Amino acid sequence: MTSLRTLLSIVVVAALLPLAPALAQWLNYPTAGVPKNADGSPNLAAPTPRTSDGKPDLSGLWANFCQAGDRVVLCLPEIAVPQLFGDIGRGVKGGLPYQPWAADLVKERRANFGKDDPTTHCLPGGIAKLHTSVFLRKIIQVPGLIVFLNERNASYRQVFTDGRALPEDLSPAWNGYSTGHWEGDTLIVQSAGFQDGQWLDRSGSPLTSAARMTEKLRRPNYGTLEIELTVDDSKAYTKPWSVQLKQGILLDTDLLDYICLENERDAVHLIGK
Amino acid sequence: MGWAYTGRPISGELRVDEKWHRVSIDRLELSVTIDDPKMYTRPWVSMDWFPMKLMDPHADLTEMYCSAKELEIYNKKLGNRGESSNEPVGLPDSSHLPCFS
Repeated sequence: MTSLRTLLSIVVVAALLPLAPALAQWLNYPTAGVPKNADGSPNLAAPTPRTSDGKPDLSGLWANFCQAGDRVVLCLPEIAVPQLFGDIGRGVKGGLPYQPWAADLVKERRANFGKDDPTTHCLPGGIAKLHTSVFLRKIIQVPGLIVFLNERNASYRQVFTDGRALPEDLSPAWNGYSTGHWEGDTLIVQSAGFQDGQWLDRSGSPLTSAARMTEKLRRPNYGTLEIELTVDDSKAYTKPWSVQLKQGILLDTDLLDYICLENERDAVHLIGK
Repeated sequence: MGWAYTGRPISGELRVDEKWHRVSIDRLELSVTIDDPKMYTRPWVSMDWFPMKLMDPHADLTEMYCSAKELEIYNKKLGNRGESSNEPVGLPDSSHLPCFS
């Protein structure tokens, strides 16, 4: 029910997006440096691109994979919603290890079709939804810093890779504060300083200010980005848990303007049980 | 139709020309020309060598969401119920946040 509702809301969003003119705007700007097969098609299995220091270059425009019937396709707002957006714990054996109060809360939020989800009310989604959202994200990797540009609400996230430690005393923020370092070809990102009251998914899995997150990012070839997200939040969960995400590169297109509050008319119509 | 600065209108025909000059290690200057034939009889310079200073290396962006009103409504309906439980149901009060743009 929840996923159907989410799907319906996304279909509505897709119908509102001025896709045709926006796509036309970028048609003449193909992505540079794409490895090609003999027939001229993009070679997504080509080796991982690397920066001048030899590290994998995570830069690119990334979309989640979705199951569409019997096919796996890149999720775009007009196609399908990533399943983990609805329930981030769907692949976790036995489900997420909720503390009792959190389990009750998620039950209530599910029964209400996620109508009170902050993102439904155009508030930010935080790191988990940055990764699971149907909206695109662009990674820009420069020395000492990796930036995520989030299509949703034209927002950003910084990951500092200049060797700094996570500060002790952090101002609460939706994305927290993130530092990253390389272990071989894997970027390890650690984050803390989260704002209380966030929802990790449409089911309402909570995140508290006690949380720490670890992300492991790999780009095993040109076209693939793998993310392992670990949530360690002893206030809401009895033990740390991890989910695996896989994203694919999008070529010859770009982020579109998506401002949730612009002409927003949905929230007042959302009803719970 | 949108707004530029203090309510000056812009149309879909707007073209903006920005010239950035980093004149020294800690000084950046920006010049902006607005060209919108539908709204203005000729192009005009809205920023003329507007100076900006490089911030201290320890400074950084801080999170500022201009949805304060939305958050206020959200909290009023759902948030910070003040119960003794540690459930983070609502979001922190943001009514003090500025919302300039």
